[in-house]
Order: sequence, then C-alpha cells, then structure tokens
Amino acid sequence: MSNIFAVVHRENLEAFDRLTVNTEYRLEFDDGELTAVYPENADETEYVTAMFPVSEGTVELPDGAVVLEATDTVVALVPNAAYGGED
Amino acid sequence: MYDETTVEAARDRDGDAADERPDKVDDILNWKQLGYEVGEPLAAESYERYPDSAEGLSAPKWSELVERLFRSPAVNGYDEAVEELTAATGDRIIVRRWREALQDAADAADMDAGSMFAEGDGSGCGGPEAALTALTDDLSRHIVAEDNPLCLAFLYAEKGLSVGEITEVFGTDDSNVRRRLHDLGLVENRESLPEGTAADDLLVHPPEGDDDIEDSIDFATVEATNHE
Repeated sequence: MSNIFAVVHRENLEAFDRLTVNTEYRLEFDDGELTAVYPENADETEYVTAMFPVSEGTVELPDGAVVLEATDTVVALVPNAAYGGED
Repeated sequence: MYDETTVEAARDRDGDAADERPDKVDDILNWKQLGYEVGEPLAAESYERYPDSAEGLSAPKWSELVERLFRSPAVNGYDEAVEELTAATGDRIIVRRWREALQDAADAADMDAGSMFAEGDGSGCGGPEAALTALTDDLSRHIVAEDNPLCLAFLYAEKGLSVGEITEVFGTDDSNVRRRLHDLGLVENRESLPEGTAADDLLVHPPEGDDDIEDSIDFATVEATNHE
C-alpha cells in the first residue's frame, strides 16, 4: 500500500509571492527556499508571503499565518483571505 | 454680503483657518502635503505609522493605509503614492521597489487602484493653481484674483482658508492678503500687520452715521473704493 504526496518547491521566495499549499505536514524553509510535502488530497490554502518586523521581542501576525523564519523580521505565509481580497 | 455671524467668526480667527470648514476644502488643500514627512501625512495619523520598508507592505495590516493613500485627492497614481511613503525618491531602485510593493499590496487586497486614483478630482496634485480653481469653482473666473476683495473674502470667510493658505494658492505675498482682508474688516488684529504698515491707512472708515457697515459688507462698494 502506498500514498501519493504532493511536493511543492519554491526558490527565492520574496514578499508578496503567492503559493497554494498545505502547511500541516512537512514544511521546510531555508534561505528563501521552501519545500512543502503533504498528501495529494489534503486541503490547500492560497498564501501570500509577508514580512513582519519584530518589535521589542514581539511580532503581530494575522490569523492563520505560518511562520517560516524569524530573525529581526518574521517571514510568514499569510492566508490570502487576510488581505480582504477574494479567497 | 455676509451676515454678522460670519463676519464676526472671520474676525475672531484673525487670519487662521476655520475650525469647521467643509472636508472638501481640506481635500483640495492636501496638494501641499504630498511627500514623505512633508506637512501632515495623507494616509495615517503620523508618519511613524507608515511602513518602514517596501517589503513591510506585504503585511495585510497595511491594506487600509494603502487604500487611504490611493483615495487621497493628492494621489493620482503610483508615482505620488511612492512619494508619500519614502523620502528616497531620487533612488530609482528604491522607488521601483516601493512601486512594485504598492502594486502587489493592491493586488493582494483586490483593490482597483485605477478607480481609486481617479476618485481624486485632480485638485490634489495640480499644485496651487489647480487648488485655486477647485476652491473658486462657484465664482466667475474674472473675479478670481489676489487683489479682488470679493474673491479674498470668499476664500477666507466662506471657504475658511487661512491667510497663509490663501497666500499659497495665489503664490503671492502674505502681507498683501492680510492687508486686503483687513481693509474688508475681516481680520481684526492690527498688531499682526507687517512692520512699517500705517494701520490707520488700512482701515475702511464707515461713512458718518453708519456704524453697522462692518456687520454686512457690500462688496460692490468695497470693490469700487478699494482699488490700489
């Protein structure tokens, strides 16, 4: 028995880049390079890559954001719906 | 002619802008505020509440600021929007980065940037000349002049502009505007007249027995007697 998994790979991920993935299984991010692996039939969400400044040790993120990297700036995937646009 | 209340309110302001004037007037005068840290910010309460970087615009919380910016009468396109957000307008790379970020922010929020830019009536970005045209839309063109008492009284008493704002839209001398408004009895404070001015010469002396002349100004009379 075997299962089919989707593998989504993006390089040079920058602010505002969009991608449609599932982030609940395997998600790797390093130096702008993202890899998501998840069952092919898993639900997918459209995300926008966004940057958030860290201020006094905290950062404000919208609901559903997935943190990819946190230094002095947090890089996160934000559900497209958070922008008030159409899903 | 203006009623007593209007004239007294104008005198009390002594050349300042009216506290309660139509929002449209503020919108028209916003032309002078375009530019980062130039005058009052167009899209937030303070410049500290502007995004620190173009990339930072990717956070959804900036959508509201971008929308306010695009709808501002002073902003008719991306060039003006960028000019309001960064002082580095001489750096083509930085400008392009901000421009692309604004376009991406608009796309993310499904904004129709073109129609938002078009909401401005052009009075915001055309400089003082366009602002003056918009402010005096109700007047005949031939009386729109810095030395026309009716026009100055209209801008000061009815539209609620300050002496400084009238000076700016005409591109003229502040002391001349103040003096002419003083001639009309609409500016009270003689101490604020320019140095060396013979204040008595600037007063309109009412005819004998007519103490109420300053309460209701007959501009036809003023215009006829006040030419320099």
